[in-house]
Amino acid sequence: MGALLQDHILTAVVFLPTAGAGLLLFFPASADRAAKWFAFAVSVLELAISLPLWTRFDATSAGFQFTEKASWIPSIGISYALGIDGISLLLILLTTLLTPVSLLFSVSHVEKSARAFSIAFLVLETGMIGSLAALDLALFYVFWEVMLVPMYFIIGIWGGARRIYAAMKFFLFTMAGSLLMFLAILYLAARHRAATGAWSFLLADLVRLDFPASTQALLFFAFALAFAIKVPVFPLHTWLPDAHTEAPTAGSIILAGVLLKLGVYGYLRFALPLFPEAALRYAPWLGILGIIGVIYGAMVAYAQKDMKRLVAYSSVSHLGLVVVGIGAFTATSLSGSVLQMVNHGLSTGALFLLVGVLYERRHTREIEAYGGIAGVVPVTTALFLVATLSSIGLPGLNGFVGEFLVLVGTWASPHRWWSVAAATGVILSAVYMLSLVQRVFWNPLVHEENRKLPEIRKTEFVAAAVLVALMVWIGVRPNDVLSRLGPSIEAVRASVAQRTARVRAPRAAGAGFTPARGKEALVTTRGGRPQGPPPRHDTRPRARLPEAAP
Amino acid sequence: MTFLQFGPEDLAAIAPEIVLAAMGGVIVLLEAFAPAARRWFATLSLAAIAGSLYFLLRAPAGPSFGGRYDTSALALTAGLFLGATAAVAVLVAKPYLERTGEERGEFYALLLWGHLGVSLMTRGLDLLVVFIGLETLSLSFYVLASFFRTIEASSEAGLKYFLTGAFGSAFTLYGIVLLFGKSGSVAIASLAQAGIARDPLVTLALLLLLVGFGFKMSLAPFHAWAPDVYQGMPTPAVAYLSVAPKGASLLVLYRVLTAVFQDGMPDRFRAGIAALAILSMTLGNVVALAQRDVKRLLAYSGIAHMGYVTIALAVFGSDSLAAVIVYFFAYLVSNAGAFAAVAALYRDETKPHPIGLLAGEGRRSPFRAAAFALCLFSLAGIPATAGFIGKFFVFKAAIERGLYALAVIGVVNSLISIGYYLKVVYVMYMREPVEPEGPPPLAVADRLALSLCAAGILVLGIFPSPLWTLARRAAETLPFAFP
Amino acid sequence: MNPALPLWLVPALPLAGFLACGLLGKKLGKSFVTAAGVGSVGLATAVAYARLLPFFSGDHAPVVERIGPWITAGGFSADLAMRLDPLSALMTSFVTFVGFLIHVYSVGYMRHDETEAGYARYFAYLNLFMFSMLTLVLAQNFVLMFVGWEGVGLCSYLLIGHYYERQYAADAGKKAFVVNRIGDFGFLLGMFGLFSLFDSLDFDRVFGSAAADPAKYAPFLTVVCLCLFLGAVGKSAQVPLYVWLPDAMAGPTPVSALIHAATMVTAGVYMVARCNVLFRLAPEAMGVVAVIGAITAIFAGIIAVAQNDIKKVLAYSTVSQLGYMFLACGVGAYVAGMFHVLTHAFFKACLFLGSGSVIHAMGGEQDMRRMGGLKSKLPVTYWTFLIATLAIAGIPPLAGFFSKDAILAGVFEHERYVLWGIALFTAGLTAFYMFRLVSLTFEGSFRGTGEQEHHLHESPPSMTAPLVVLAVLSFTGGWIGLPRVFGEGADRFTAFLSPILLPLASAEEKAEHALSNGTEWLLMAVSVAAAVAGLLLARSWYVRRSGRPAEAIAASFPAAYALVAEKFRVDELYDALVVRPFDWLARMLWKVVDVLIIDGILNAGAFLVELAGDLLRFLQTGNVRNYALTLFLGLVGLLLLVIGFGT
Repeated sequence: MGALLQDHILTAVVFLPTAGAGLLLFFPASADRAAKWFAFAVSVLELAISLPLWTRFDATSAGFQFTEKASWIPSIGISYALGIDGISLLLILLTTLLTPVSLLFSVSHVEKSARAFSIAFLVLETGMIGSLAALDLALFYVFWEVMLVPMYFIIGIWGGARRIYAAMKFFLFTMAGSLLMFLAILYLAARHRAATGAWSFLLADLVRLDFPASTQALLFFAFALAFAIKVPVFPLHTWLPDAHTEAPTAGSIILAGVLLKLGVYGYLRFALPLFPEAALRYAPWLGILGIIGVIYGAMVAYAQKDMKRLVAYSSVSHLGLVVVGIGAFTATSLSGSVLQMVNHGLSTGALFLLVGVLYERRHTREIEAYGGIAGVVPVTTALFLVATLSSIGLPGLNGFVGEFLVLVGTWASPHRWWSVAAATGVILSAVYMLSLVQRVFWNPLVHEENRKLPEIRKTEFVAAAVLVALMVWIGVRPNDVLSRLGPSIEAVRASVAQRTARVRAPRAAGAGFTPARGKEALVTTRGGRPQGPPPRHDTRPRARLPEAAP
Repeated sequence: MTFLQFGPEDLAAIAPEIVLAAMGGVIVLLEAFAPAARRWFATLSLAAIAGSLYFLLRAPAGPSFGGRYDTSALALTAGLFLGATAAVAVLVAKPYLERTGEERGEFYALLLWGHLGVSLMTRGLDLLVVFIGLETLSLSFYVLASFFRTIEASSEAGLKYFLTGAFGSAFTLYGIVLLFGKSGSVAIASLAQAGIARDPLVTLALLLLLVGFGFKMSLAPFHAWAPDVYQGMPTPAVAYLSVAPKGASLLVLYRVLTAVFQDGMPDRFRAGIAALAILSMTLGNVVALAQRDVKRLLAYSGIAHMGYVTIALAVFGSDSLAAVIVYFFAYLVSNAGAFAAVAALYRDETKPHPIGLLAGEGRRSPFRAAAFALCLFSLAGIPATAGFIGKFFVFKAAIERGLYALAVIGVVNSLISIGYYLKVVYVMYMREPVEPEGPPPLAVADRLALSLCAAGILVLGIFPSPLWTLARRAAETLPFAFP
Repeated sequence: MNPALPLWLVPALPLAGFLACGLLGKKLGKSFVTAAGVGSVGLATAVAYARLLPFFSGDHAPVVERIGPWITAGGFSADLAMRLDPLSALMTSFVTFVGFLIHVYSVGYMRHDETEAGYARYFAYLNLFMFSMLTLVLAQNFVLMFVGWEGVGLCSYLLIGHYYERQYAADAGKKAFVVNRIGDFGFLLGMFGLFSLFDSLDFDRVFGSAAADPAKYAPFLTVVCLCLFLGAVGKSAQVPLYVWLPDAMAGPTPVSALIHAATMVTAGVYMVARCNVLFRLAPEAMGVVAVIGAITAIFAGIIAVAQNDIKKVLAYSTVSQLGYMFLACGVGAYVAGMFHVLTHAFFKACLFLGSGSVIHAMGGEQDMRRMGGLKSKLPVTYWTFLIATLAIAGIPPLAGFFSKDAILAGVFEHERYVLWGIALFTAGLTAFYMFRLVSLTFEGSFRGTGEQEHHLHESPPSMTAPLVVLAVLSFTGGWIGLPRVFGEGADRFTAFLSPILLPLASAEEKAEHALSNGTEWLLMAVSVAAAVAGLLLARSWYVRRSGRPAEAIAASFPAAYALVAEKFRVDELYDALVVRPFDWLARMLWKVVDVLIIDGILNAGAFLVELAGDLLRFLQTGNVRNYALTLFLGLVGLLLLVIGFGT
């Protein structure tokens, strides 16, 4: 058994939740409480068995680890291939962490058919982890789509007033994106067969294919659209505020915490290595959309009257920054982006959770319904404050590290002005988050009913405290995370680098790599910093990378 | 005349159909002389279906009746598909008829005879045999359509189906005649002559067959009868009619076209089929959005699905035939399952089936609702369900053949379709009940049928490999002379 | 090799205090909070001086203590490392000490009118501030410095909003943070620029390479320095970002003393001095610094003249004095600037605490027009306050005189005569409004309500003791930096601090042409004259003629007076130019772009499909003849297509 788990740890991590969901089917529909605690127990067990991934992860290797491979539909080369690198490792652990947190919160708040809720949630976890671990595109697509169904139910059944509209919008938006990706995947496989005579959906095989620029562009768009909707990138973001606002608290936590990240993850894992040239060619647009997202999301967030909506739009802003880092494509900015995804998962997760705490007590998300409750619920206030500070990137907490790395890394890219534009997010985030804090927790206490607002419960507190603890930890010891990230990031960049090099040698040096980046590649590990003249980020990179001109 | 003389192996070959025919007769006689035996009819029918499958599996290899009657892997696979469909229909029929107090032997007899007709279609390598099968099917279901004599909708459905059906058959027959005139034989194999593909009369004939069988497939624009007929016809019969004959018809078309188009399908013809596919998908899905009645909604969903699968006909080739087979197995579990769920969820059969009545069933009758939802998700083609696998292979075939436009239109359509499938789902799960009294108690047979379909959906969705292998082997029996 | 008392202990102790007060304070009660809050800082002060005294006496060689790596990603890396050099030593020396005094003072000030929770929260934040401020000054690289930099901003935000149930306090807190963030935006960009130039944000590496090869870096440094200076402008409340500081007075008075007078607001000056190598390579940037400083100095000084809220006067005076310090840095007199930072910390802290004592006695009253004649009622407060006032006014031999004189001399030395004139005038102005304040508050007769008068009382020792100590320092603090005219080596301060001015490889800077003793004496005389003039004028107006002349002037130039009294309506200006447009734009983006345009398009698409469905439904006539017809038409269509295709 132990040995089996050693060899198939990823399979275990992927399917344990579904197994738990299967068992839940045999619970009597009346045993809601038991079902909730059971689901929580399962998710905790899941977290426990996912920890070895962290401890046994070899931070020095860039390759995929804990890999498993078995043929699934051999006749057309679809295989059950799992494996993780630093990027997926982080997001998987984020998932296995946020799921118990959400379920713990739900224990005291989901009343209506809680058994079904628990089942949906556990299936969802399998979907998320599966798509984070899949190395076969068909397998990935299956997990990717499977996620939609439970989330659709979670929003639609346990959501707020406009839940059906939100659920529908969520489902259609995401589906619209992924269907073209589905065809693109089929096309890739067909091309692989045409080239080699054998069917394969394995990422490792498909990255070897080369396409004429025009084809590559089309395929890239098919993938990018799917991921851009998930992230979401402006202007494809309008499903998000509805979904996040109407979803039950646990749903919002997972939506913001994990689902959005899958968009960026998919882009890093699939779109970039498969279509490097197209990716580099359109990176400028990505960066610009990211910047729009940062500023637009922040401003719209500021205009909100609904707490959850505000936090939802803040996600648009934060993910915008992540996208900027991806577009800039330096080792530093990429590390920053991935780290920032984790950070956003923690901070926004905590924010949604605490908003949920308030909502469950007053059953309104209107900011105006609160005010001056800091004295009534000091603990909630303190936790919310920390989450806010993490979210606005206060140094010493996790948010700062990611934000800073993205910006400093972007500055080193050919698009340094992105860094300037995106850095305005530093100001804007403070504007909207602090005015939220002020309007909810500070100011005169005008609504009498708030005077006896019950303080946060134990379960809720534990759930939130875990997140806060991690915020501090990552803020103080970011290298624990970054060290596991570095090689994988380098691997992504290297694959892109050598493929673009292979395709058009003359540009190899410049294909998305400024001198600064080139040097970065030399000094990924601390210490040995190269001496010599510092990089001059004048127009040289532009010249080297003509298609980079926005 | 070769087929006058036939020996024991021919008898063995046709035994499956004989069993069906005989059991139909037995049931009618019992109905007449021993009404007490009624409660065994369903069992008997199941036995007959099983028996015919048994004989089918044991049928001697190699063509019988001088190559007019198919015993190949393809026939076996088709038989499997038809048998499964019929079994589901019978399972659903039992409690259904009990509820409606109309448990009369005719129903089972007609179902079996219709089933007999369909299997003749799939097995006949001779256009006349096929036509006889087609007519047997039609006649049985004309009657089944108006099974509820007392209900106007039902008899209207019967009449409509009969009139339009007769018209459709005429097209088929005329096509057959033209082909006979050209090739001097009604044997499909004899169509395989050099140069025949370029003959305009043959083209006309093929188009006539396309219309005739397209009518049976409820392929737009020959679909108009389907919604009205489905609405009036007893749901279990619909469960069969909406699946089995469609598969058989497409198989027949495939057979004929393979024979005629020795060296691949000409683009002009492919364009025609593609046009039908696009029209059927789009019209089916778009109109389905506007439906308020579940059975009509499923009718249009069926029209759309025939559009998807017709893409595979346009692709034309061994792999795409295999894709068709996989698609129909997936469609069987999803669509028959959906109708089974409808049969089990609605209390009063004499009334229409508005979607609104399903409100709150998600909690009131969780099992049926869950099964129905699963079927709908499968029809929508969500991964990890059979429906996805079906679409997967069809679209894969299209992409491989370079029919990108068809594939893109196909996925855009599946996006539209989600609109109405999810509508049903959220009515069941996200709306509070409107009707005080819930659906009828869940009968064992219903539970069985639904469980089978649900299991089928998941198993085929997650482990499609065996089915694909089977389909491949079946498809290889057709002589595709081209890649 | 870390010595027995590593530097990181100094910030770590207050951090521990913060955790103790924050987590346990509410449960364990006020005495625990007092012990933990004050104790931790006291301990930190002790540790700091245990390290500082040997350093002062030693050879002042910089000490760097690396704790370990902090952020390492891609090409970027930053360590957790502390630095002890003359500059950070200077800052630490008074941050810890003054901070400690103010903690002590706070006990008396906050103890009674605070709930357990509020008291704990207050000391928790105060400790957190000490941690951040000490991190800021002891950091060895820009990133770690930025941790402190934003940390102090956070604490200022939290402490300004200490009375969070008052709308204006909450507003002021948010305003402070947001405005500071604007500055931090600049600071960040500055850091990015530095990193892209030097591949590191470590002080030694950056300054070392810059000093080693000025020619290479100079062209890029102007922009970088301006970005960094933007950070300083925000943190140290310079024009145009000074607007948050006056509002910040909404916080408890000890907070104003510690954060908004003595320590945090001088962080900007510290940062500029720390980066002197870079600034010296960017003359244009230095010019900007000097001009901004001068403008701020006089601008805030003028506003201070017309304020009636005792704390507001002090606030604007602080802004003005900070301008002074930047002026010094701007002209290259970094040492003089830091000297003023030090002395200012003493006398301004003393002034704020004194005003706190007054407000305490007045039962929260801050309007000077309702005070008067408090001299007799609050003797200790009065005398300490007076000393501090004399100091800030620049009356020899008090601390303020020497630092201010050093600055004036510096400006004059670098032949920036206009700026010198402004500075001189500001000096007079300072003396004027400070003595106006003293006169209105302590002289004359009491103008408050009867029951206020009834409650008047001198503050408890825990409050007066710090006053006395600070007063003494305000008196003597300047003697460590006597001008050269008192003989070579008299200016021990310059001698101590000058090592921070790394020599630049290419001696682009024009050599320090020292002023002749004569000029030196003359300058002193002039500055003293200005101060005395302001002093006398104020006394004659507000003591002898109890403010009538001022009223007369105000009456004769109502518009001008109103403008000054209303702080030149800068807040209103910003509100109209920035805040309202921002609100409007935000709402537009939401309601128009999101809801109307994007969702509109999507919904329209969905609607069209539905519509098509509804329309097509009517093809379903239910009429069998039509059904048959469709079959026929279908066939015809197919025929046409198949025949027509390709031809």
